[in-house]
Amino acid sequence: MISATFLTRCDIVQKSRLYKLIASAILIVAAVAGYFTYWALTKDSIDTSTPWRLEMNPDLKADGTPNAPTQEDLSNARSELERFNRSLDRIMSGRADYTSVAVAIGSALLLSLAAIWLGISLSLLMLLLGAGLVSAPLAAFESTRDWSRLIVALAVLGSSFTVLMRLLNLALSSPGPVMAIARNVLAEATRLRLSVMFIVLILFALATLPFLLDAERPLRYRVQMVLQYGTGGIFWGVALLVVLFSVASVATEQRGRVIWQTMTKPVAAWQYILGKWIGVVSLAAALLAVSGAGVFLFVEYLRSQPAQGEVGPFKTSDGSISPDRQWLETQILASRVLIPNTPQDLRVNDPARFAQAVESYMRDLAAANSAFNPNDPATRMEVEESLAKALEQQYRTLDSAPGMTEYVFEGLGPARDADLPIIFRYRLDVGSNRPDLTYKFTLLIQNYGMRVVEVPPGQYMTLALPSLVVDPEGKVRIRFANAFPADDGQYMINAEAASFPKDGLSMSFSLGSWRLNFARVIFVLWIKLAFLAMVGIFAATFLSFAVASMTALGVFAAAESAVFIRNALEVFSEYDPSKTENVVVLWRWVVVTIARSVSSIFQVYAELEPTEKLVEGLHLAWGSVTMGSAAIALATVITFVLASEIFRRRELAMYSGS
Amino acid sequence: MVSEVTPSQRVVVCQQVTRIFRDFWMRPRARAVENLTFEINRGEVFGLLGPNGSGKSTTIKMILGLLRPTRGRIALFGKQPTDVAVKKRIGYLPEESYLYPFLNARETLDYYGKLFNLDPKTRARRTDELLDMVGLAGAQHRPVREYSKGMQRRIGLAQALINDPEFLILDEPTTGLDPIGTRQVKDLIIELGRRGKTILLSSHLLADVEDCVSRMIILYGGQKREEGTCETLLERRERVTIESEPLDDALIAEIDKLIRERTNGTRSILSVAKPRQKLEELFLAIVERARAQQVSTSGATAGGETAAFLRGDQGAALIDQLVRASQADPTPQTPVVAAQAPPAPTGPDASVIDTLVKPEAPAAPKAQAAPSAPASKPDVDSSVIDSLLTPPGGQPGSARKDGSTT
Repeated sequence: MISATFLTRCDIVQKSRLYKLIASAILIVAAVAGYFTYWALTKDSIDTSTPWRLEMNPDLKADGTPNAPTQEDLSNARSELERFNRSLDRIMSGRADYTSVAVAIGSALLLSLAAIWLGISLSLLMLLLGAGLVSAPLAAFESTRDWSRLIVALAVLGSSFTVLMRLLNLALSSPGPVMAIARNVLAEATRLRLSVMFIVLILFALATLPFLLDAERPLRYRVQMVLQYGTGGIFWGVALLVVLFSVASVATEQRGRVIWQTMTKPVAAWQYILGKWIGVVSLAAALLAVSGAGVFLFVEYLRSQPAQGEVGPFKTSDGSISPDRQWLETQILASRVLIPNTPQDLRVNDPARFAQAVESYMRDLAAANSAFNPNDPATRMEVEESLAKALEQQYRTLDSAPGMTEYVFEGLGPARDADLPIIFRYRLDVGSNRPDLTYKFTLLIQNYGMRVVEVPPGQYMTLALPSLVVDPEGKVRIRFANAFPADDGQYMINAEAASFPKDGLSMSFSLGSWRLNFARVIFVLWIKLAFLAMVGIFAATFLSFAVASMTALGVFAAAESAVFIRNALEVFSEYDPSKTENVVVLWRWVVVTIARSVSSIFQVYAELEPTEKLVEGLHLAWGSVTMGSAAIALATVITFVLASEIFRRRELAMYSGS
Repeated sequence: MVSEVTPSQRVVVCQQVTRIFRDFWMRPRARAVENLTFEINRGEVFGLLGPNGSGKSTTIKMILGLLRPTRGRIALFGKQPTDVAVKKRIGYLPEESYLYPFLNARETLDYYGKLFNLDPKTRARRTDELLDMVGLAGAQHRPVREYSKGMQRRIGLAQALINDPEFLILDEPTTGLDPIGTRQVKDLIIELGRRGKTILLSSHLLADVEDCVSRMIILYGGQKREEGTCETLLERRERVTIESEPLDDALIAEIDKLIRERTNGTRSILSVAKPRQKLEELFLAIVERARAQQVSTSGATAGGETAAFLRGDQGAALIDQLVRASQADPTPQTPVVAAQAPPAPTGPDASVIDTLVKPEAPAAPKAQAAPSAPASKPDVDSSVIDSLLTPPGGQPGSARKDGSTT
């Protein structure tokens, strides 16, 4: 057993300046040497061949013969082909990417240096060694190997969190009421059972995440799962902790009268509220930093693993790019601007023609049904809605008939200007979407040519397109035919009609790296947590712990579900008042009014959807981040002002009326 | 009560203060304080006394801004009680120690020190001194939730002093303390009073209050019943106590006879008794002996002397100066100063007592009056003394020998 004398000696050593200097120097040298050693060892093993690149047809020559291309044509084709090859190179660039290794080594170095200069390095080292000693025998057996990894992961996450908390303590150590209260909150968080339990659970959930992945599933799904639960799931856990802890920190002090000792000192109400908020927000930042770094590094690790269809990382047997890898690199680990295809609304674009169509339809209905009243406004509104829906459905449907349907995508000018590859994503539903069947369709892509695609119904497919498909107006036009050329040159029409669902047609191009996108997502999550912390503190200034907790949790739930509420309202508010009982009408009106207010208040908060965007590889623009953060920050400030004013007016010797 | 002191010397002014507690429907439920008027002047040790529910704690909370008066006005250093800046000058020890259970003693003092914007060096120095003073230096790294009630009171007292306050409010400061701790707190209060601090002391333990305060008010039912100094309130003019070396029954009878003769039989000795040592003194003596034998303890230690920053950097010389200054000051002195010295006899001249005692036994130094006690002219006829010394068949007077003293 380790004696107390040994521990005391270790403590003295780890706090000595000489030790800190020597250990820091050794660590920096080891980190740099380690990085370059890794680079030297692995660079030669990386396959630098590029079998996926397309070559010009050598038979194409500008020889002046009829139908032969001109030199200019060949030159243009060569440059376009090169651009396309570069886009494929981008997909495969991950195989030789040392950024994640540098980030991992850099993070470990910074944390270790921090631990050294905080005087806790030997303590943490002993903790890690202890975890290693416990996990080593477990690693020897297949059945316990996962436990071994879990123990090591928990030790690493716990140590990282400890170092970050110590750093925060140091940052908040200046005299003054605000910093003193903030620091006290951090101490409370790590010493009270409720908060410690939450923190341990969050770190435990993070450490067990890798074990929930099914190695048989495509790599892209595994990465999405890590992103979904590692950011979204952890965010919910941290949010619950933030809400409950911020309420408890204020409410229990009032109930236990500890606040008397603080507020009879020269502490203004706003200083007290601000100090509490800074403390809770700092705790949230530490948890997000640990979980964010863990998720990021694990995703980068998964990225370096073989995808489905690959024999090794980024390597297929025939040199092509596997669909799983392509999807992962272009759709998920990306920062895509999504351009959906929206059908034209004739009611807006061509109201005269639409009105004409409505009149015609109503005449037909009147002719078929003598009870039909074409002059009734409610009936007319119903007919217009039905017709609009039918037009939209018709737009999205490829009939089992000859002919092509054109779909236009707008707003792709930036992709053309920056020469960025475009990913065309589509999904076709045919009948009951039997998984054992495939259907062939013909695509005609502007400036690109014709493609015949064989698709399984009900599944999303992607097609990489060069930027030359975008016209000078920033539009891309694609025509679909529910038919395919047969061997005899004739076109075979599919027996069944096919249709695109609402989100079944989109184009996207990558604007920036997923790593920066990830950083923006973490920042937005932290801003949201800061708002929730202030809501909890505000509620606790005048409510008891139980009521304040429920209030704050209610606000959290409303904020997170505002988008869902808004979408649900579209359905819920569609009813015919003339055919509904008055009491139901009143009830619906009340519900719609409240729900609409709630969704409007939290619209900015909910529409950011950082986790959803991250999982789908969508771009979270700096503009959205700035505007959204500013709006949430404003709401936080308003809540802070209200909380300070209420707290200032409170008689602190009274609690819940007693 | 109209005060003759200047406004700048008034630390607390309460004028017609009333506090009514109402229920949820705003109906009056309890009248905790009613039309309370008093002032606390700079340098006073002011007692706030009363039974449970008399409004003492409510008054203190209103002074501190934790409650607002329903009617009336309270001024603290001339400002509203809710003024943040004025709280730099206050130290407060509530009736229970409401401390953060997860902090240890050192962290607790460090936290409260930061609230006063004390720099790290000053905080560390004062923390060390206060922990030594309250006897918690050996337990400073244990969380407060593991402390006994007495230890919590000690650390509570320490946090009230971290900012070297001008005005100290102590609500039941000796609750939970052993006699040693109680003695130390009283000594501290006295010393702080001598240093010119203003102290508001609220306590049920009347003996503790009596030893410390210079002026007090007594509340009942939220109303002031009495106000004044210890002398004016506690002096019993209808009795006189004389203390001397042991006397035999015959001599006592002679004295009784003399008194009867001089007062025409209207007065006599009511009781004669041996004074008892106070239990507190016995307790302290036992503990001192145990300490001298270096017996170990895991609880709070006795605590050292008053923290240096509370005593002042100039040390004892400054205190002496303050004591001399306070003696020249017309403001009422604490009666404890007088109580520390043997009480100067009043009534009959000390020399008369000496004369009575001397022929029986050698004169002991204790029997002498205090050196500073001014000599006053004897007011007893020497022939009476002579007759007492050589009674010509006179009978000893009756006297109570129940051991009690009057």
